[in-house]
Amino acid sequence: MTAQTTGRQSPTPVPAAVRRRLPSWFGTWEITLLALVVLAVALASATSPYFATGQNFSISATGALGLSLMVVPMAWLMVAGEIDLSVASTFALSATVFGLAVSGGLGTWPAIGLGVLTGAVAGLVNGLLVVDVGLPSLIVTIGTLGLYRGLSYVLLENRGISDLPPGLTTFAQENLPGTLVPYGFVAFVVVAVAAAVLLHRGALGRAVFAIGSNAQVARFSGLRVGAIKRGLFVFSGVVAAIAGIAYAGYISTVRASNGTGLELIVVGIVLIGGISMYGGKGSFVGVLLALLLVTVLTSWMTLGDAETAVQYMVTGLLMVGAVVVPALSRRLHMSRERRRSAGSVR
Amino acid sequence: MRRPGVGAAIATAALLALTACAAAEPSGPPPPRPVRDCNLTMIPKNTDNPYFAAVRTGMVDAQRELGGDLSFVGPAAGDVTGQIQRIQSGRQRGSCVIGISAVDSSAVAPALDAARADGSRVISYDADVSDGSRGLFVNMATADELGRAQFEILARAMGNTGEFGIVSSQSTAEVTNGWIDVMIAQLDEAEYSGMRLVRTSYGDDDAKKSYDAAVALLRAHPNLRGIMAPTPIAMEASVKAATDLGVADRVVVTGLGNPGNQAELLKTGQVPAYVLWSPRDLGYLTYYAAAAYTAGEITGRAGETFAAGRLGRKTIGPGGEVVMGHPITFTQDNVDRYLHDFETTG
Repeated sequence: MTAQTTGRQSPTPVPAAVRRRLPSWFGTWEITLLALVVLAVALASATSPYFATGQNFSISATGALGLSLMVVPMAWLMVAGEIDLSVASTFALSATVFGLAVSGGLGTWPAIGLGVLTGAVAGLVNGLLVVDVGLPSLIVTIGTLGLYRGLSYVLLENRGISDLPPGLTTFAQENLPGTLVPYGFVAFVVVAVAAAVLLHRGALGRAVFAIGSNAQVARFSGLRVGAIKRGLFVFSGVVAAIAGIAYAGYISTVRASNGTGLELIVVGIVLIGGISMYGGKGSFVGVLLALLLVTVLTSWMTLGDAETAVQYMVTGLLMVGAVVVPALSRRLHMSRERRRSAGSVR
Repeated sequence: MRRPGVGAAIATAALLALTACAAAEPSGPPPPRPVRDCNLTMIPKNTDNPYFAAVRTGMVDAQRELGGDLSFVGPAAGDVTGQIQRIQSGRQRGSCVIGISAVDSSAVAPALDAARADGSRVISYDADVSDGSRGLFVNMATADELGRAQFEILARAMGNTGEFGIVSSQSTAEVTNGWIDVMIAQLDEAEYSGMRLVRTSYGDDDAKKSYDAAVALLRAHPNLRGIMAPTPIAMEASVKAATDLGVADRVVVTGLGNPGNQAELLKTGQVPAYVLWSPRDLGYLTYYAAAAYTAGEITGRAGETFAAGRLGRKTIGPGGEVVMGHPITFTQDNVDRYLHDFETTG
């Protein structure tokens, strides 16, 4: 027993074996989140007779669609070490363009196409400013957050567009016939599974992790860092557009104020999911569990008539916890190792 | 070993586990239920507002007389998503009546329609929702009367002549926009031909934004003689702006005020008079209307009448609208007599 300098070779072999068996996409943080979800579901079911019902699932899943969709590209972007704070403004701008197109007499699909194109352009502008001009994404997207939202207000002023295609409102408000599974939920599961598999299995996912860990090294090893990042921003814009149009269908209304402030909840969920602010770390499963946790808690608190202020506080606490707990455990781990190695030297 | 498929499956299985229950059964018109056996969900625009606290006091007065279980819940700040969540929790609780003062008349409509399909009756009070999404609307006074009453105070104080500006709430607020339309129509009368509206700006019911809007208005128009503020927050902000710029002696401020926390503005003479109605009576009448509606005494047809306790019998007008009465003009002489109507302790 001489080489006890690394954490992997701890003196008791059992935990080491356990740790080695955990895959990268399902580590201690994901287990913690899963435990929290189970705990929250159990407590909510015990305290509210309306929580563990199919109807509540249907209502919560329908309401969370816009938010859930935007979490997907944000997770990818943050793994790559970037961030897009303009998503909620792109969400509103794309819906605005879509709404104006519909009221201008364009068909549903062309109007959706135009809305999504708006999102893609908005994302591309972010990507060009970050990649080609070389500005930090935090600053660029705080700027475009104001720009895209302001543009929506210029286009719509104080008007609301409520005469939306019935196909859209049905998709965004209703369940598959005869079930309590919302259409939107099915769409989200398809997107989420595809994004999870690509991120953790595909070559593209590996490239994104490599870029997030160290963009220089990634570039020298032949990855097209710029193109991938630009693509991620466009992806973010496109998904925000789809989410914005779906949300407009959910409330049957396009307004310039749609989704104000949503970007912080999206970033919050990704952080709670264990994806590092600095890129290169985290798993999509963690993000999905965080999304589930926040949705469960919101539903539980709403059913219990909790004040909105309390709801903000709980989400805030979770976010702080998501950053503090891993940092503390790392520090604890390191100090224990230091003591141990000091002991072996003596 | 990375097995993302399994990870995604775990997350989706957790979500799908909530769908265990059967689909909703078809619904007809809800059977009458006496208010004593009922839960009533009453949603204000926002809870952080003394006006709605006084509305709640009135509802509690009526609840003492009629019985029933009152859930007075709403978002802290007026947001659509928060209101939709409260509508849905009322629906899940099986509330006999869901009452709402809508932040956005069309955006809450789909959630209200879903609640109606599940057997809740829907009424609006204070601020209406889209036609067809509610059975009754309890209105404090007609828009025409409210617009005129505010305008008359301003016209009299300005001697029916000179330039004035408007500092309103949100540009999308339909109720205040309705009053402003009435005021603009008044300008066509020969009596008021000497008055000119120079600009309408919006302070979003935010003290700082309203103050900035009033300052901008005063700076841009040195000949301004009056500010019309059809919302209490903008009125207080406009008074402060006129005082700070040293023009309070020549610029008159009036509009909609809340004696509950703004009696001082009248007593110090900073505002000659302002308009409101009794929020406590509005809450009281809303509760009585809800009780009569759920008991099947009224269905929302024009001409039906119901007993409203201390307010006497009320008649339903065209479009399912119940008008409470006339606006009250408050001055420094009468304001103390009305403080009872603004009590916020329920």
